[in-house]
Amino acid sequence: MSRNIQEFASEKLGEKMLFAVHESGLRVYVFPKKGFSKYYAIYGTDYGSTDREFIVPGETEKTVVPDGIAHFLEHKMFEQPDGSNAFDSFALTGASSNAFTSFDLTAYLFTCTDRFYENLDILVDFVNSPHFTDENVNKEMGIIGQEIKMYDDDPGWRVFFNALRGMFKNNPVKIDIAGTVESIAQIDKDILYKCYNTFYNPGNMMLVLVGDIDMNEVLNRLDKRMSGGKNLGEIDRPEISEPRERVREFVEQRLVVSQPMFNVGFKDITPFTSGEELARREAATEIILDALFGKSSEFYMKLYNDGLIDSSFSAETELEKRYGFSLIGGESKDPAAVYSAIKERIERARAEGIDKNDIERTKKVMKASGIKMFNYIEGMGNAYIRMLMKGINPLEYNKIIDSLGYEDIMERLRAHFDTGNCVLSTILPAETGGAEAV
Amino acid sequence: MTERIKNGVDFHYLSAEKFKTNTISVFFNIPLKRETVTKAALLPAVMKRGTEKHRTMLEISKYLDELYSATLHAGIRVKGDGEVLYFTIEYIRDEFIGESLTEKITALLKEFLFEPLCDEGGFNEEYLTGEKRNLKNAIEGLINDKREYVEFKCREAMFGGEGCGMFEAGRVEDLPGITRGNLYEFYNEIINGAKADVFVSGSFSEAVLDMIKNSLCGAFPERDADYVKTEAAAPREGREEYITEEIPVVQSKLCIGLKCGIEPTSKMYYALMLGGCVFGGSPFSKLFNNVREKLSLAYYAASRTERFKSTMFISCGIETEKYQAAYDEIIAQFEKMKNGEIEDSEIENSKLYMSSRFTSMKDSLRTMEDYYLSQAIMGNDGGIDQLIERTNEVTKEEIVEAFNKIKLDVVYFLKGNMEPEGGEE
Repeated sequence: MSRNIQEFASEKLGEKMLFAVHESGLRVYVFPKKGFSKYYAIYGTDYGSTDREFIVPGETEKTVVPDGIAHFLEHKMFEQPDGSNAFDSFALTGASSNAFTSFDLTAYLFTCTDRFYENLDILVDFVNSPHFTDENVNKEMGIIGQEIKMYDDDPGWRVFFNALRGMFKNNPVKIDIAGTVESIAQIDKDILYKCYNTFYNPGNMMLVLVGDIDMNEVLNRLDKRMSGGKNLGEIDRPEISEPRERVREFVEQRLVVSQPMFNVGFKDITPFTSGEELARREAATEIILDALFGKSSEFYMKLYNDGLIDSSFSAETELEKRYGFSLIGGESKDPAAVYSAIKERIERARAEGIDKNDIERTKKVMKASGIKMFNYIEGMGNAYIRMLMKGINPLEYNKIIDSLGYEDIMERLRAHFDTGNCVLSTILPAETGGAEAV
Repeated sequence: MTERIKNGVDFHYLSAEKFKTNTISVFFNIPLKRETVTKAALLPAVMKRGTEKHRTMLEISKYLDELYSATLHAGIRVKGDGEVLYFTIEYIRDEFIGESLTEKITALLKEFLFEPLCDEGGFNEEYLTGEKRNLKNAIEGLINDKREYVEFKCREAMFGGEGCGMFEAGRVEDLPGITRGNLYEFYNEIINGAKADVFVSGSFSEAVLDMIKNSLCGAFPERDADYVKTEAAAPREGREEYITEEIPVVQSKLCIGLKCGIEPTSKMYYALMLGGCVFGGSPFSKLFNNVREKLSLAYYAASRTERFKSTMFISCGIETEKYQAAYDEIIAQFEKMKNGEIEDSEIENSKLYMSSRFTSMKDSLRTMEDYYLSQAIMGNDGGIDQLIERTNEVTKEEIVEAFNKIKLDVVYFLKGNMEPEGGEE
């Protein structure tokens, strides 16, 4: 059977991407890598912790689900109808398997150095065969309860979520991905099946493969395992109305840390239009953050020399279809002073512009990172599935960086970096006891 | 390929065509000692701050950006009773940018090593003060990651705070005594006296390799120095220590430290490593299946073995009142290992799992470099394929024998006494 396989290539880098839509509706991408020992497969669904309200295709009423359910579902997928778990199946081939849930993506993955297609079968089979019982759902409460508690003690995680809670009023991005011990207590097998049947349909999913892999063989294997009958098409996710304004400027929490940690957050409410537009906005934001606050900036040098920041200082942006924000964070003895310096730097850039040399330098650095990414088999899979889910072609990203002009970047600076609407989240040191021998 | 350039200075070339980048690295081997641990942690940080030619961090950073975002890493890594100070630069290969950077990169690495910013009295005072402050924060910051913290406290108790029982970032109390003068003396001892290894990894022509040998290796004076030999930790019979530390966290953490007494180059080591995988090194291990999946006591429950010093650490995060239940289950699983209650399939699966992990090492320049450096330090020949071969030869009897050598040493319980709470306005 002849297949419609599209090929995109970067001659200069000797890299390419193959793309096909399987009959079932599943989008499949292969990034062939010759010479590497490893293979990586990541099978993801456009579904994450922020999908708490949706309309099941064919229904008219909105379904609202308990917080943490996407993550709970991810844990339970490993359990197999015959009572085994997927780790046991991978154990027989030597592959390493894992999964993760983020705000808008749940993904199952494996790496292996041998028997790739066999492992691919295992991956697709286990994600395609849910098995939820009252008993196995209850068992998971204890494990996930401990996972939630681990994150409760993690200052890096807390400072991040506290910043999101300062920024967002309604958007579910402010809710912990794993939910709370109370919210997961409401989860039962019926609601798991409902979420599974809605979001784990081939039209809502994507398979990204990296390694010395043959696309035709992949599609042939999928023929035996995936059917189009399960494709539900677009899932209606009601628009969440989010005010432009932050919820509150300052959020503080005390934890056992040696010195304060902070995150400065800028919320984004620019509506999603297309993948390319999102990519342009994201690249422009990264250029701004690096030019103003990166390791090669005057700002970084001055605050580092003044002892206000250390090498933990960094800035990042996350722009997705249904939420967006930028964060600047690290450790500091005086987060308030860093916060004012950040605001001041942004104000000056808004008034005086950004040095064009810094913009060019930053573009060069970003393009170099894109080249280096091809060294990392798993890194490619993880980064590219996120881009592809947003409709961005990873091989085209450097062109997007090049296409951004000075005015595009200044426009983004004015739209996104509003110093009257940002948030400072801090973690302050709590009192501790001491050790005793017993 | 390894070549002795001169006494105490070795050149290693790892050829790999598949990467977009090359790396050039220099490693200095020194013993992990109480008198020098803090200085060793401080030195790379100070050296990274400025050179005679690129005097500030900003100048360095901008120059690295110009070299298509080359990255410089410098720091320390513990290798049993020794530690290595490393300086490494990774940069994009010529063919992907249409420009050759190797000569510039080699020159830059030499600058960091041989021309750090100094004056008559030693290192730059401002840089020293700044990096002392950062190191103090790093040492005190150990508590920020509770899992790392409890594992360190356990290790510290196992070795009485000596040698590898020290936190590799050093001690805060040493900092006031470190001056730009005495740190500079220490620097000279390292540069002129420590066993040095130059690693060049990626794709290079013969001519370029010769250039690096002449220019970089040639700059090192000859030295009468060798790698630091590590003594495997001797198991203590019936002398377990139980320590509880209470802190205001939500989740309690348990770490059990064990001493194995198995030489890292002996045949028995491979049995220990493979047995470690069966016991707690994979998502199909005894610890994962029983402590986590069967009893739902923990989100993570795992063990890892450390080759040089021959230690094992078992670690899990639990509910405070589940301490005894978790401890009992871990010990029960450990006893099964000792009694040979191991299925053939557990061993076969672990062999496949470890072989795959080892084969994967070939896909990372950094991991390969570290592997071959460790091999050199241990005085062990053989590449990754040989490691896989040795692993696959291990028998159940050998695993049982290895596990019967291991003794429980320290049980460290980080006891949480707090309810979860959110941020406040």
